[in-house]
Formats: sequence, structure tokens, C-alpha cells
Amino acid sequence: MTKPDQKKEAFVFDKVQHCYSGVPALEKIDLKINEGEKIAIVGPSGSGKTTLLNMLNASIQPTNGRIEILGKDSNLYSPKELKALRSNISLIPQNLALVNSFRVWQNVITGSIGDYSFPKLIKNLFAPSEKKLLEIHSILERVGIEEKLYSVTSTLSGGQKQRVAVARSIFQSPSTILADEPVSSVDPARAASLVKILLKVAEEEEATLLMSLHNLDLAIKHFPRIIGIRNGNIHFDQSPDQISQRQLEELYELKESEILQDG
Amino acid sequence: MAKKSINSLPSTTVSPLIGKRRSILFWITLITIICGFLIGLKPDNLFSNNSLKLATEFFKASISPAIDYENPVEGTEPFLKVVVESILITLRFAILVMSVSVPIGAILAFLSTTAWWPENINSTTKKSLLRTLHIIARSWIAFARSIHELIWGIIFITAMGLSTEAAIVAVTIPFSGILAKIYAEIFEEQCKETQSMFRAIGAGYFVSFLVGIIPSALPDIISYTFYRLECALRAAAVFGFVGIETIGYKIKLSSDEFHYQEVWTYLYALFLTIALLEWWGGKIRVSLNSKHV
Ligand SMILES: Nc1ncnc2c1ncn2[C@@H]1O[C@H](COP(=O)(O)OP(=O)(O)OP(=O)(O)O)[C@@H](O)[C@H]1O
Ligand SMILES: [Mg+2]
Repeated sequence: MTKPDQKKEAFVFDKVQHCYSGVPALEKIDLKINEGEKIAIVGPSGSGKTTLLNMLNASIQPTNGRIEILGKDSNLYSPKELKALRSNISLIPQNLALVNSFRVWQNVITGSIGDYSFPKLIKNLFAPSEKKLLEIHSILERVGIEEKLYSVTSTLSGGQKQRVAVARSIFQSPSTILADEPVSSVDPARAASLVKILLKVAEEEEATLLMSLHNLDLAIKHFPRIIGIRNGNIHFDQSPDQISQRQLEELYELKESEILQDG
Repeated sequence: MAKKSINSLPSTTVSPLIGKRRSILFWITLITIICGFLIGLKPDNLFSNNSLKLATEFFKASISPAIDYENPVEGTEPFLKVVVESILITLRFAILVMSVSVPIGAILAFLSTTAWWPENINSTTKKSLLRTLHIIARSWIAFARSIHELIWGIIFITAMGLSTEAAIVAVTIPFSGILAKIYAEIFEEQCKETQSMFRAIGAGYFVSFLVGIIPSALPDIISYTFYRLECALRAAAVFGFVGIETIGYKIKLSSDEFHYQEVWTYLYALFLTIALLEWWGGKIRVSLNSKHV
């Protein structure tokens, strides 16, 4: 048994609600996430996974309730503290948000954009040292696209771009990794290997990992804790062996209004 | 629930698009006729005897542009050399205008757009400072654009005397304003996802804008800047008619003496220059776009 004070709480949600122009996307979420935990977030489209992830770096603030990030209310961070916090939390957004006209290595560099001073950023983006390039090369090796180091990012396939985004996230050496559907465009074998890479990175760096996934099998196979979200509520929050078949079926059940009529 | 058959569209009395277009067309035609009437257009002026004769002469000259003076005078520079020189002078004018207008336009664009603003500013002094700058920049841009470069030219030439410097300042004012407006629009059209992702991992708002927006905006920016260079070239030529020594000045001299073949040589040279610029700009655009599949 672990003692309660042995693991530090990274994120605590207290009755968190979030509304987009009055319409709730998340309702009364209570959640505790410890440092170093590895969590998969599953749930149907529009259930609120992206919204939840974006609350963890205070990009989205709760409409009601409160979120504690590293022991401090997310609303009380000063701009400077927020910058420091965020540069320690990497994000792989659903749309990847890569700079398409940059070369792959330049996109990887932007992972550290929150840490660099302006002159240092410019130097690294346009005249990186040999050492930096070697570091990037070895990260690209880990995600399996080292031959694309100098390629223009827009010429890559969807799956290759996802791996660039993962590499960018690794380069940031964060203490928390937020990954929103990071494997949606790769084939099943590569999806599994990419998930394993992120888990391994998180393990080695002792980072907290939160990943939203549409692929339930991947979540069950690789994550010790799975949070199921449905209609902005937590449907279950358990280890995979505790989740019943019934709960999984309920999670993805279509609402009456969602059932497509044909003819 | 009532079941609809697959092939039927919801019924309306008129197909909406065609109906709307027809009435827009009608109004445009009507307004054009009214405007023509108010200005006092007399289409038969176009075909009065004298103007018809001059026009025929002018267009006839187009098939045989001059390669030497139509009325050579001892001791003057060879005609073709003068043509090339006047093109170079005109180009120099246009490039000078652009090299001042582009940086000023870029700065004004940056001040006038909200694309880089922090999403929530808590400090009220900062907020009002940004707002003030924003309003000043917008107003200046609107003012500078609303007055044509020729009118600015008349103002500055009256104030500073007939000089190339005065003409360059005159063209730079509206040009930097127009560039600022278009640049700002291009910034605002870009997808904001990369920028907000950089914000989310701790980058400042200026850096997020610079790395998240500028690279994707660059092809459009360059493309538009080339188009403006073309406009600057035309403006330079027009200022020749006011007396600034660009190609327009030579065109006016030849035209005043009814040397239409010389006029055509100048016009063809100008056309060739703009075509070359177009070709060069196109090449740059293609090389940038190949990175933006
Ligand atoms: N910017 C926004 N403005 C308004 N409504 C939004 C916005 N973003 C999300 N929503 C709404 O909030 C709800 C939750 O959206 P969210 O993106 O969090 O879902 P998701 O679980 O990530 O879905 P997906 O699996 O399709 O990515 C949806 O109903 C969506 O329509
Ligand atoms: Mg989502």
C-alpha cells in the first residue's frame, strides 16, 4: 500500500463544470491525478475529452468549480507562473498544430518555445548547433522517422506528422504530457508502438501522461487507469481489469438523437 | 416523424440564388446608367472627328514602335539608351517606394491587428494601451489609404517643390497604408491553431504570433507585395506626367510632339518590365507554395 503523502497530486478537479457560450461541455467533474500517473481518456465524439485536456494547462478555465494544478488554483496563477507551468506541460493537440512550412527539425525545436528567450529561439530555429541537431535526430529515431529530419513538414503523411508532434513533445522534456488522439492517423501496429513510446518516455522522465484515445483496445491494453467520459460526465474511472463489458457498451451507446435514420 | 422522399428538395416559390442574382444585376445596371447621366457622359464625344483621327494615328503607331527618334537632333543620347535608362529610373523609384512602404506597412499591420493579442489581459493599463495603439494605427491606415497618391503628390510637391523625394514620400503614404491593411487581413485569415498551441506550452504572445502565424502567412504576403511593386511602377510612370523624371515624363514629351511611335516604344518597355516582374513573382510564389501543399 502506498502512503497517501508519498505521491503528490498533480491535478485535482473539484466539481468542475465548463460551458461553451452557456452550453455545458463538462458537468461536475471530480478527479484526482497524481504525478507520474498514466491515464487514458476514452469516450464518444463530443463527450468532452479535448475540453478536459485543455483545462490541465489552464488554457480553458472552469465555468464553475475549481481546478488545482500542482496544489494551486488554476485561476490564481500569475502570467509569469503560468508561463513556467505551461513550459513544463507538453501538448499534442488533435490537429497537431505543426508549422507546415518548417522542416521537421524546426518543428521539433518549437517544443522548447516556452523555455527559450527570443534570441535563443531564433538562433535555434535558423542556425542550430550540431549538438541540437544530433539530439533531435535521436528523438526522431525513437519515433521512427529519423530519415525525415530535413524534410519540409507539409510533405509528410498524416501518420508521419503525428510522429513529428510526438517528437516535439519529447523535445520539450515536460513533466506532464497531454496527448489528444495522438495516434488517429497511423495504422494499428504503428499506433500501438507510438503509444508505447509515449508511455516509455513518460516512465523514464517520471512524467504524468494523459492521452485521449478513440481506440479502446489500446487504452485497455496499455494503461493502468482509464477514464470514460460520456456527455460531459465521468462514466467510469478505473483500472482496465475492473471495467465491465456493460460499462463499455453504455459508454459508446448512441443517444436517440444520434441514431441515423436511413430511408 | 414524417418521412421525406430522398429526391425532393424543400420547395420554395423561386430558386433563391437565381432570383437574388437577377435583382442585384438589375440594380447595378440601373445605378450605372444613373451615374453616367449625373456625370453628364456624352458617348458621341468618343467619335467626334478629331479624336477619332488622333486615335487611329495612335493605334496605327503601335505596330511600328520607334527604334530611333522620329525627329533626331544632333548630340542627343541614342533613343534606345534613353528608353532603357528611363525604365531603370522608374524601377529605382518603385523599389525605393517599396523598401520604405513594406517595413512601415508591416509595423502598422502589426499594430492594427488583434491577431497577436493575449486572449485575456488582466492589467487595465496594458489593455487600454493596446486599444489606443490599435485605434491610432487603424485610423492612420484608413486616412492614408483614402487619399490617392497623386493627391498626396500635389500636396507634397506644393510643399517641398518638384523633387523625386517629394514624389516618393507621396506614394509611400497610401502604399504603406494599403500594405498594412492587406497584411493585417492576411494575418487574421490564418488558422490560429498553431499559435494557440504555442501559447499553451508557455510561449509569449509575440513569439506565438511570430512562429505560429507568420510562416503560413508568408506566401500570401510576398505575393501581395509583388503586386504592390507593380502598382508602384505604374505610380512612378504616372508621376512622370507631373514632371518627375520617370518614364512617364518621356512619354509625355513624345506624346506632346505627336511622336506616337516613340510613345509605343516606352509603353512596350514598361509592359515588358511588368511582365518580367510578374514572372519573377510567380516563380517565388511557386517555390513557396510547393512547401504549402
Ligand atoms: N470552441 C468551442 N465552442 C463551442 N463549443 C465547443 C467548443 N469546443 C468544443 N465544444 C463543444 O463541447 C463539447 C465537447 O467537445 P470536445 O471537443 O471536448 O469533445 P471530444 O470528446 O474531444 O470529441 P472528439 O472525440 O470528437 O474530439 C462538444 O459538444 C462540442 O460541440
Ligand atoms: Mg477532441
